[in-house]
Amino acid sequence: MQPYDGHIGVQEGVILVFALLSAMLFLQYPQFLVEVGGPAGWQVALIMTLGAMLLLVPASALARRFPGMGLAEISREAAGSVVGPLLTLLVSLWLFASCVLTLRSFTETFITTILPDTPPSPLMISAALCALFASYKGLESIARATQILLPLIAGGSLLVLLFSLPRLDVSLLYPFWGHGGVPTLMGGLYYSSMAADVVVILAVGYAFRDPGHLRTSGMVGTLLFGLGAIAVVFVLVGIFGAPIASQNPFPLYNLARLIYLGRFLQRTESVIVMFWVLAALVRISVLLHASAVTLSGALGLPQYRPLLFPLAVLLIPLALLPQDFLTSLRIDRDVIRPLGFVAVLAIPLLLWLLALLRRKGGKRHAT
Amino acid sequence: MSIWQSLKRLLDPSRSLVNQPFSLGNRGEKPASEELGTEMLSDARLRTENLLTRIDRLVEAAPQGKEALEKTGDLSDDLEQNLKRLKELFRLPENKDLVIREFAVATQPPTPAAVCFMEGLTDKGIINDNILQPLMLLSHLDHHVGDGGENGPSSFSTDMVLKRLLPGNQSTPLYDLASVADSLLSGDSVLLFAGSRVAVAVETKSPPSRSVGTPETERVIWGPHDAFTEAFRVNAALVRRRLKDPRVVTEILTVGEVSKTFVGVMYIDTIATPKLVAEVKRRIQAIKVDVVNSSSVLDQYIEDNPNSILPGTLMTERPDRTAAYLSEGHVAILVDTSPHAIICPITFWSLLQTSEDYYLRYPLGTILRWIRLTAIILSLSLPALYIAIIYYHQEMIPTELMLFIASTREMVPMPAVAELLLMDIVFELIREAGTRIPNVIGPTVGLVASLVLGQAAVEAKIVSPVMILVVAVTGLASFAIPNYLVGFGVRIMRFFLLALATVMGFYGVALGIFLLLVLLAAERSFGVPYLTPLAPARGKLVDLLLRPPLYRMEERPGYMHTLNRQRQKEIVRSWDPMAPAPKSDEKGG
Repeated sequence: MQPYDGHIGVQEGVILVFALLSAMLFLQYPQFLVEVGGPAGWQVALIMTLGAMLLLVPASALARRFPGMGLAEISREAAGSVVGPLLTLLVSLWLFASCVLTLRSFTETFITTILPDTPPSPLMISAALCALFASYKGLESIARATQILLPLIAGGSLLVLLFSLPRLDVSLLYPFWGHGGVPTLMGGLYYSSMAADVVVILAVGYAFRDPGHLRTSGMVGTLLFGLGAIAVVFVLVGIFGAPIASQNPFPLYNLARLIYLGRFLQRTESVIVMFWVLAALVRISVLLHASAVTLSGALGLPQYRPLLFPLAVLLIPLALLPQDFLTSLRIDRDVIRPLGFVAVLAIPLLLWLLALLRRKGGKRHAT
Repeated sequence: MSIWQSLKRLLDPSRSLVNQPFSLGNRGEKPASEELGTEMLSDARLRTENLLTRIDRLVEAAPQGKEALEKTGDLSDDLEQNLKRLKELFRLPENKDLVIREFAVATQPPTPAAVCFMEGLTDKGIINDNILQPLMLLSHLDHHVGDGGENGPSSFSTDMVLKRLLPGNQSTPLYDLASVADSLLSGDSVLLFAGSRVAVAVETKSPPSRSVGTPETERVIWGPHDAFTEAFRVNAALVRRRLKDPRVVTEILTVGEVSKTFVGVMYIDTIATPKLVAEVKRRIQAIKVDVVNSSSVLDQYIEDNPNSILPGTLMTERPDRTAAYLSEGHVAILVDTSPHAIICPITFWSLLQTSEDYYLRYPLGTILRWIRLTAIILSLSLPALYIAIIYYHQEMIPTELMLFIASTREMVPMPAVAELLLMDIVFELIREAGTRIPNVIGPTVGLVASLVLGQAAVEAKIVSPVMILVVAVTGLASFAIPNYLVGFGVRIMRFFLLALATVMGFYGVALGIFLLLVLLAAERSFGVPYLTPLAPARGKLVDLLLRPPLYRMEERPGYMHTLNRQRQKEIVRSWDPMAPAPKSDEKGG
């Protein structure tokens, strides 16, 4: 078990999950949803939300069976000291890969939008250093900082959506069923892996005082994220129309560019970028922290902190590896997201079944 | 000395060169620590002698029971011997602070005695009127004192002195030399008698201190104007005057091997959680240093993170504020010789509040809080945002304003950040000079300096007028931060954000804000998270950004885990026809 890393309550857990997932709404993911669902992109977001909440069921069941334990300890307990660490290692690698691609995506968007003359490496190094510092300070500190930042990030984004409403053209949301029921359903289920990062809460399960808190945090956080995704996709399609929205990798940024509230308040996208950076930093920090915690658990190390610096150093060259932005988008959409099902669904489900078969956990561990 | 002699002395090399100039550490000499060893040998011998004497007496007293053991010390029944040891301990005759006045108690036969006290720490009037006069002149009036009267011969004893001869309000028997020394150093007078192994300490403390003044850094317009002084007892009394309750406890600890500073730990027994009180005492008792002469010094030994930019405790010079915090379950630490109380634990938000928030009606108190919050945000980020906009995000500024700024900056040869730093340095200089200049001319000099320098800098085209505006607003905002130490911390953070904004614009500012928030979120003050009750959310958030009406502040802050959560009755304004019925009534009805 990891040494004291602070405790996460329900409120902090919800905020952490919501911040972790909603940072994706600043990136290319709304574009993917529109691509699949067309004018019915918001329905894809709705199905994605429901699917994502279902994905959490095995993780919640596992946490209830092994209260006060993180993924590494659960794996070791349920699957033994050989298979268990291997399964934890898989989750760790997936989380780290997600972290790498998040860093790359955010860097690319900053360069494209506000800092065109800046090479990517200074942005990546500074973001990695910030994530390293935050992860070093612990999940409790990240959660508390997020608790203060989230109203800013969410409020700012909500204002962008609200101020964009005058330009909304409802006719662009038709045909109502978009490309048809089946593509919408399948797309929604496929992109429910957008919320696969929620496996983070299982990775740091030891920080939750009660397994019920973990479940509530995951469910409510994912639900709020889903509502956010529906709202963003709805406004995006309603303003740009499905064809343009499906080619728009920076939805909120482009919405912010359209805002014009008289002569004095114009071109507010730079302010949005600040919220955007803050959301990105929260996401990268949480993912880095969870990667380090699971990796240290898989390797049987008593502390995660010694792994933080090597992981942060690795983060930068790995983020620079994809040839261009489009390649990184493609890797994320076609490789990392589908593998998210393994991390959040398959492995917890397998562990739960193994625990059931080997009669591990359960009442013996119940609080 | 004539001019010729002076000249001759200069010309004579043997006289003008000093053979051995004074130095504290010369090569070839023994290090000072070795000197210390020999110097302390006499102390060690004295202590060993005392210890051996005490052990012998303890062995003798053991069969007589607990009371006899408690009264066993190392004082001799020979007055001369006691005085000799006392003089040795206090380095007499070199040391002139200890005064020893030998006299005879007017008993039959007269008993030789001596009164010892520290010059300057004692009230000589009390010594003359309440110690020497009764013992030297009036003790013979009591016929039971050693006169061999009707009741038979009665021997002289310190017990009799305590009960019948000394009218002092606090008199304590002492049994060992160490206690005698402690009493003397705290300002008491100590009486030693021939034939007695017991000394008597009489309360005569009167250390030099100033009278109660007005607060220097926590001034308010509405509310009391008294402030703590350097006298610990006066400070405790100022607080106790506001909390007339026997449950208010002041525990006194002594800190510092040499300074032996009194440290008072104040709390309300039925409100403050015992865990907190024990932790405060544990941290104070763990301090092993020679000198602690200020609450700021003590604070550095006990606060959770001494590396933090922002303070981990609240230093206040206001007794009313201290009393208010005590009533919320906090612990106040009063340090003798320091005009500040240390309040612990605290949160970041409490550093942004003042007593005045609660003295004004709630809408005004809330507005004041918002003004202060705006001030801290401006003070922290305005220069960084200005530089970020000027360098990287010009599109945010309306076109006319941008053209105006560009035109004013056209003649300025320096980059904007250099301009800003230059003006900031000048501003800091004015601020620092303002605190050193005597009070009468300080504000005038500050005003003149800022006006003249600002005007001259703009006319000389060294800085642009907009920059003066930015620096002035930032400076003004930093003065609106109610806590001096927070103001200091914010200044450091401002430069950090400015550096990041210069290099990376809004991206850098966002990085800086994130880092600072994580840093603050990781802080704790005596077990209380620094950003609570906002993060983590604990209880109601009403008394944070808003100042709720006093009659609605029914509970103490949840994060204090107080023994008694209820601060006041649910319905305080029961006379008000508009007041809602208490919940208990509703249930009953």
